[in-house]
Amino acid sequence: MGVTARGCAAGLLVLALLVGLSPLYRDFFTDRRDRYRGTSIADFLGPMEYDRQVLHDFSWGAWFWNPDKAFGMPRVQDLGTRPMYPVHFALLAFLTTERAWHWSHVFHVLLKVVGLVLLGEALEWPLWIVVVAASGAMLAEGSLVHFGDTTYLASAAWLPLQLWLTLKAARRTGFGWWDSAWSLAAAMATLGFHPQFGAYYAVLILMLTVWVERADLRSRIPTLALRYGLWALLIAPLLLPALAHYAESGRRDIAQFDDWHLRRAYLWWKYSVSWRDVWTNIFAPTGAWVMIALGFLIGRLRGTVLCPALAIYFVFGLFHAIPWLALPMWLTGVAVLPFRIPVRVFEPFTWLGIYLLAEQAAGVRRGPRSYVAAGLLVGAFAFCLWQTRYDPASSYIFPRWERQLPQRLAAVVRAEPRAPVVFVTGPDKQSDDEAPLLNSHHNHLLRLPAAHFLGEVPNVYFARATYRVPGLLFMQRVATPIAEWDAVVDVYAELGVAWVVWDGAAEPVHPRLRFVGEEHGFRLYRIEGARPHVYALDRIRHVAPATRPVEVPALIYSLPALGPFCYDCPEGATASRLDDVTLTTTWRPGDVTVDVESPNGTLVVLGETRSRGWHATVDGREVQIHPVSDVFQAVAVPGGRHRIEWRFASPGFFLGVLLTGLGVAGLVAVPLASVLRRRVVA
Amino acid sequence: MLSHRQGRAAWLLILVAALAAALDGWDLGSAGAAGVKEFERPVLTYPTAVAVAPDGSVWIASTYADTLVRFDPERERSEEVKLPLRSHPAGLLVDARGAVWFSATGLVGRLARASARASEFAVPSVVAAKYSSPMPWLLALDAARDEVWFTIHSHGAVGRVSVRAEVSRGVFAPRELKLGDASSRPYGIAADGRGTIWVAEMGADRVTGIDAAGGGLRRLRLPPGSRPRGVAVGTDGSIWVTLFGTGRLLRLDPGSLGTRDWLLPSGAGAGPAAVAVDRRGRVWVSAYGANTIVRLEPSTGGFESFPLPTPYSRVQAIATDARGWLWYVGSFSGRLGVIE
Repeated sequence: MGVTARGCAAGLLVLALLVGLSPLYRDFFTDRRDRYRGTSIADFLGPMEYDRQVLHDFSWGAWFWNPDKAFGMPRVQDLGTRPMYPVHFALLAFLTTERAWHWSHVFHVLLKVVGLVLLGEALEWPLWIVVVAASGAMLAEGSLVHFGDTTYLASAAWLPLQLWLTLKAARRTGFGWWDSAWSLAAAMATLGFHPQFGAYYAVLILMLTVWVERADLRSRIPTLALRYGLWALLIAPLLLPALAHYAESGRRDIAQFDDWHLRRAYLWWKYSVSWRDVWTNIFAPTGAWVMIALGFLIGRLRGTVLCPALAIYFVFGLFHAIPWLALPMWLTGVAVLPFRIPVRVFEPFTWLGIYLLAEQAAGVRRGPRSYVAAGLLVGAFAFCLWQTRYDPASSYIFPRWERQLPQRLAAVVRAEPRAPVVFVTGPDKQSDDEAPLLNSHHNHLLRLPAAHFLGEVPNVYFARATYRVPGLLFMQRVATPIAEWDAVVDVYAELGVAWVVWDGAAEPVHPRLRFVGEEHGFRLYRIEGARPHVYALDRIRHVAPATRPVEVPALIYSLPALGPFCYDCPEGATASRLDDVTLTTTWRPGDVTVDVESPNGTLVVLGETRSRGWHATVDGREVQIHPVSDVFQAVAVPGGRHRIEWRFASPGFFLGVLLTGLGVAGLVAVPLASVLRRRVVA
Repeated sequence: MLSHRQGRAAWLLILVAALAAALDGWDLGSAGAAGVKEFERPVLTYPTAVAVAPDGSVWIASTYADTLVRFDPERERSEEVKLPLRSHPAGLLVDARGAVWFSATGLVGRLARASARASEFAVPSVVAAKYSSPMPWLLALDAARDEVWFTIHSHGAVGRVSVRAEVSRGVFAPRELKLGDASSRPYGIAADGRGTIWVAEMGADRVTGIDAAGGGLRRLRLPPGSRPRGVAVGTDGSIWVTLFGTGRLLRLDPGSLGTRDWLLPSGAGAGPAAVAVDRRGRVWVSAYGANTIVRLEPSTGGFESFPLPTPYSRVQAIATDARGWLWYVGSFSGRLGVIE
């Protein structure tokens, strides 16, 4: 049987085993269940819906700026979305968002299977070992956990393929087509990955690369550098804007949030790892690990490839996860990888662990030990299968949601001038795994601008303005008691929030709330007197710039009583009475034009989050943008008629596109040149 | 027209007043209506509770700063007690021994006099809470039984804990009593000193009397939309309840459950929130929607209004002191104020 046919056969056998033996995979492939633990449809389907809208109704403003989340934010700043992932766009171009979401999962599961099979093939394992190992890896708890987050699945799906390409490209002369394929796969993985996993995977790949290239590493360094260089060029349109926006992301500035619980979670050197966490993250399923450990006792390490590379990586993991081993970083205060939950470093072992045993089994092909090794491998597979059938972690794939979204209420909001909505859910409601909690990304499905943020750490200005205002900043999906949010409706109104969708028991009592209607248990309230999306000011509080986030909430809570505040607005900018000011606004995402007429000049506020990338002009001349109420942005205009234009573009994107062109040319030209040179030499 | 001499006298008076104010430290800029004073310090982050201690100091819950603030009115100085992150203290009470009781997320706490570290008593329903911690809200002292009672607005319940309770591992010191489901929203609470605890159930439009000894309930249903919020006990034993939804102040006879009510001067939109009774039996009410504090003389039925100097102050908490002064905090002004 040829290698290709063997590979195809192995892949089909793996899929047959998954569907035949695992009820989870069977329901997954037949689309009977499509909700995943932690991967609320709201978490990823919502952003995908936004991406689909951008794709089908394109504008550069909408490409760079998502105006429907957290008063607007740069798309690349939101780690929960994959704004430039080609797989994403290919699916969204032809399918509805919900179908695209489902097929995205299917694609990545299949990709992982293909990668695992190819990896086994590249290591020249017997067919049965390839099938058992790949199936075991797919059935292992670690692989099921990938269903817990779409981005985990996308991150992990590319890893086996990258490991395979690392082996295929190893120890060749010059930069060849395998190297190009490696760079391309690395770029695809990066565009779709979750950084906290992707970075560790990159380290693992690097260690495998160093191990397999060690014999001739010095001469291979230029080729390896070129691989990484082309990878960087290919992802430049994401990388450059991401670096620019990272400078003002809450993630970078998390250390400033002295009193924020996430500070502890995100600054890993402040995070104490419990052995229970390590155990849970390494040894699952436990039975399989017993088999793997026994395999090491009877197997042979000599000649193995994965075992030493993963062993080096394991040592790196210990160094990274256990504080006392990271003493140098403690002393310098500089983190090499400042990621949350360092035990994630061990994540590859939770599903690739069985590959270590497979490598042992493949190494002893004769004698009684080969039977024992084979038995251990089958035993490990059986343990993975057993835990998958009973899904010990209280299941990863859930039945469909039956609850309908309030589309009719959303239409009411859409019919009014643009104003953000807050979605709040009471503690009496069930889990988001069982039915939609609207304090999430559903706003994209309802095509409503959301005032709140759900996901990873947002823009720092939004974070510090809202992290102490109930209902606005959701790091995870959480309930909001009614007495907390209906007491701060005045703050919502000052922030321009004009609507509340409430999903919970009890009626709010705030005098500014007007009940609009109820649909599928969701109740819509209008906030009377909320600030419009664009407005002029006739007074502004001049305050000293906040130096720490903790200073901002007191200012935000004083908005209803004392009005908007500014750090650097020019004196006299609010000279005109509001009655004498007329504003005419034309709004598109990331592209706002305001015609202003005022007798003595005025300060015009755009109720969208300030960020690098916003530029404002008055009558075509660039002007300074002043922060108002910490999170918003204002422009001062002199008396008379003027036109303000606000535009948003992520810094570095177009340069990145040029660099990608260079990278694509390099992917073809460099191996071609290498081939031609060899021919000339020959 | 003022005569030359009168003019000079007026200027002199203004100068003396300004000097006195400056020496006294009052912030002239924030002084609003006559008799109402607001302090620029301490800066508070959405304060929702205020209480006066036996020593005359004023305690404030700076809710979204997770801080309790002790303000010394004599020296106009304040000191802070930082609570654990996300405590969100919402209610305050100072017992006869000077211990400060506060409600916070999932617990009630006690800060012993001159102590910087609070004892925390988790409420039993925290065990069953899955998606959000129970929220103990306002507090009342039942001096006869030496117990602190509190509403748990998120769970439709009230709780009680002995003032002498000690933190014990694995044991919940507070006990809970369910009044209704989460939609009943129990809010204000007061102990009448005769064995009954009165609770305003804002979501259910009713006032409930709880027999502290036996746990029996007596209920007064109010017209829909009344939204009873604050509760206080008068010097004559009557129960005063603010009706946030209708702008009224209700007087309840605890024996007969007979009622009488008054519309606040600013009308149905007044939004009466907090209520307190001073030593002379006068009833003080914060009109949340009208940005005033009003005082009712029960014997005459006459109201006196005190407009607040900062617009949209949204006063949710008031307390009277031994001198008859009324202390308040504006949730959005972020300021402590007093009406002398």
